Amino acid sequence: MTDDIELVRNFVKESDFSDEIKDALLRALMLEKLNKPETEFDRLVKEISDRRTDEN
Amino acid sequence: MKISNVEIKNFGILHDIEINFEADKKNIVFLNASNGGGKTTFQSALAWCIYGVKPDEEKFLSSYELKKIKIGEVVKVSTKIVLDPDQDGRISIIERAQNFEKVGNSEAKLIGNETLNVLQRNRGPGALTEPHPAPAAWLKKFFPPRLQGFFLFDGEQMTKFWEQNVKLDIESAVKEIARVDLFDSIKKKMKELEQTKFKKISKKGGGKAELLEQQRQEEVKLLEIEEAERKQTKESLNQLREGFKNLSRFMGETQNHKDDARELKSLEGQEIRLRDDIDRLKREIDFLVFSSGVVASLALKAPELFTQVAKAQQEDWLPPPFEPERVRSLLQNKECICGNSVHSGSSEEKKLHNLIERFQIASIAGKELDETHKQILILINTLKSDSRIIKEKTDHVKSLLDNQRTVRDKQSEILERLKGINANEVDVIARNYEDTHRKILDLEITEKALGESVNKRLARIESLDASIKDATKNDKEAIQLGKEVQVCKEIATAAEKIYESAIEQVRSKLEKAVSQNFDKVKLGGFQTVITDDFEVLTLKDGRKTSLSEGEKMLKGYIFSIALRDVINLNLPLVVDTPFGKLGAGFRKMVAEELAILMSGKDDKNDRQLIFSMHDLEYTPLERRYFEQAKPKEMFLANDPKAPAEKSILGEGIDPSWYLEGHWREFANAKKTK
Repeated sequence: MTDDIELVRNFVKESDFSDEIKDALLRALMLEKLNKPETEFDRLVKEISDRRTDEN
Repeated sequence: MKISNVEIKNFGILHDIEINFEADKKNIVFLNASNGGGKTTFQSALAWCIYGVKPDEEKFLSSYELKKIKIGEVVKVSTKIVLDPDQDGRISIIERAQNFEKVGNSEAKLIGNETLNVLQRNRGPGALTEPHPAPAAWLKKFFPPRLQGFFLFDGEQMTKFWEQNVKLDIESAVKEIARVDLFDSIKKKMKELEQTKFKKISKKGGGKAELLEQQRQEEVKLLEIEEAERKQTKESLNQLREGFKNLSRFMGETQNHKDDARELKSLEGQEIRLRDDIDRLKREIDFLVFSSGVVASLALKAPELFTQVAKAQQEDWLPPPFEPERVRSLLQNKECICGNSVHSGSSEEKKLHNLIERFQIASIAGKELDETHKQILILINTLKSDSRIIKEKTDHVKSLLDNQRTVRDKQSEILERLKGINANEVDVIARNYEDTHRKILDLEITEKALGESVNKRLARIESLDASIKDATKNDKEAIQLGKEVQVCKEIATAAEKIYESAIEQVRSKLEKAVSQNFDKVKLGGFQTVITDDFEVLTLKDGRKTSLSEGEKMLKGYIFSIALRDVINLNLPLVVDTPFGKLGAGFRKMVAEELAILMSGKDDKNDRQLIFSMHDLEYTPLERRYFEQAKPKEMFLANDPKAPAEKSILGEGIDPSWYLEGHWREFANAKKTK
C-alpha cells in the first residue's frame, strides 16, 4: 500500500487550490498525522496570516 | 503479502498448533475441519493477533491447558503469524500474547495487559531480526481495521454481500483507502479554531460585539442543523432517484403493459359495479313481477265488472241517486213532495215503501259495485305503472348486460396482451413509480427550501461577521484575528473539497477494478457501477441487471480482490465456510473462477486464499474444481486423547472423512480403480 500520508499528499498536490493553501493543508496533515495539539494548528494559521500581512 | 506460518498456543481448542502454509509454493490453502474442529477458532486467533479482537472469555484460554496446570500457575495464550513476504517484501512476525492465572479448578483470570510485538527482517541468510518500534501502528497501516471484513470473513455472509448493509462497509473501505479521515479532522479543527478566534474578536469589541457573537453562534448552530438536514435530504433524494431510475426504466419497457394493467384494474372495478347493479335490478324486477301478478289476477275480473257498472250507470243506480231518509220523512209527515197527502195504508204509501226497499238494496249493491270499480281502476293504473317500471328496469338490465359483455370482452383482450405478465405487479410498480415521483418532488422542494435557508443563514453569519469586525475595526489584535479566521475558513474549505475528491477518485478506481475483474470471469459486457452512496450495481447495456446467487458471491470475492488491487495491499483472503449454502452448480462457478484469480494467470502471483471448509462443503467435487491451482490441503480434527478440548493438525484430508458420504464413495471408487 502506498504510504498513507503520501497518498493524501498526492490528493492535495493534485488539487486546484493555491500553493499557499496546498502548503497549509500539507502541513496541517502532518500535524494531524502526528497527533499534534490544537495550539500547533493555531500557530500554523497565525503564520500564514502573518505572511499575508507581510506580503501586503 | 502471504501468511507463511501460524503458531497458536493455548487459544481455545487450538492448544498447540503450528501451520506451515508453504506460501512460497501455494496460493490456495484449505484448512478444513468438521464442525467443532477449530475452523472458527483459527479465524478468531488471526483476528485477535492482527486486529486485537478478543474472543469470548470462555473461548480464549484453552480448557485443556487450564486442566493441566495448578491453581496459581500462569499460562500464556499466544498467536504468532509470519508474513513472508510482507507488504514491503520483508519477513514480518506478528505476535500477540496474554497471560492467564489459574484461580479455580476451571477458572482463570487475565494477568496484566496483552503484549504485541512485530519483528522484522530482510529475506535471505544472515539478516538481522529487529523489533518494530510501533507495532500497533504498523498493523493498522497494513491491516486497516475498517477492511477487516474484506480480509477475514465468514462465507455464509457472502451471498448477502450486495445487500443494502454492505454499502456502509464499502463506504467505510473507500474512506479508509482514501485516508479521508485526516481531511475531515483538519476541517473540524479549523472550524473550532475559527469559532475560538471569533469569540476573541467579539471580546475586543465590548458588549455589543459580544451580543453579535452570541447571535452568530446561534446562527452557526442552526446552520449546522440545517446543513445536516440538507445532507440527509440529498441522500434520501439520491436513493429515491436511483430507485426512480430503475422504475422509470421498467416503466419505459412496460409502458403499454402499465396502461393495460391500469385499464384492467379499472375494468375489474367496472365489472363488479355492473354485476352489483344488474343483481339489484333483477331483484327489484322479481319483486315487481310478483306483486303485479296478484294485481293482474284481480284485474282479470275487470271486463265483467265494467259491463255491470255500465249497466248500472244506464239504469241510473250507480251511484244510487235515491235518499231513503228523505222519503221516510215524507211518509212520516204524510205528505209527498208533489204536495199530495199520503195516507197510511194507501197505495201511494205502499209504492213509496216498495221504492225505499228496492233502492235500499240497489244502494248497497251500487255502492259496493262503485267501490270495487274504483279499486279496480286504481289497480289497473298501478298495474300499468308497474308494467312500465318493469319494462324500464328490464331495458336497464339489458343495457347493463350489454355493458358487462363489452367490459368482459375488453378484459379478455387485455389479458391476452398481458399473457405471462403479472398485471398486479405491473400495477403495483406503476403506483410505486408515481409515489416515488411524488416523494422526489416533495423532497426537491424541501431540499430547495433548506438550501435557500442555508444561504440566508450564511449571509446572516457573514453580515454578523462584518458587524463584529466593524465593532472591532480599531482594534489591531481583532483585525489580526479576523485575518486568521479567513485562513481557517480557507483551509477548512480546501480540506472539505479534497475529502470529496479523494473519495471520488477511490470510488472510481474501485469501480474500474471490479468491472475489469468481473469482466474476466463473466463475459457479456457487464459493467459495475459504484454509486455516489456506495451501492454496487451491475449493469448490462446500461441497465441494472440482477445476478444469480453464485454470481453475487463471485462478485463479492471479486470485489474483495479488486479492493486489494486498488489499495495495492495484498491481504490474504481468509474465509470460513467460503461457499456457505451455495448450490452445487454455483460452487463450481465460484471455485473455478477463484482458482483462476488465485493461480497468477492474471499476472498476480502474490495472492493467497485460505479457505476453511467442513466435509459437506469440501467434497471430492469441490476438490476437483480447484485441481488446476494445486492447492495445499490440511485439516484440523479433534484429538482422540481429548476430543472436546484439543485439536490436532494433519496434512491432506481428515481420514475420518473417508468413512462416510462423498469421501467414502470417493475412496471406494479409488480402491476399485
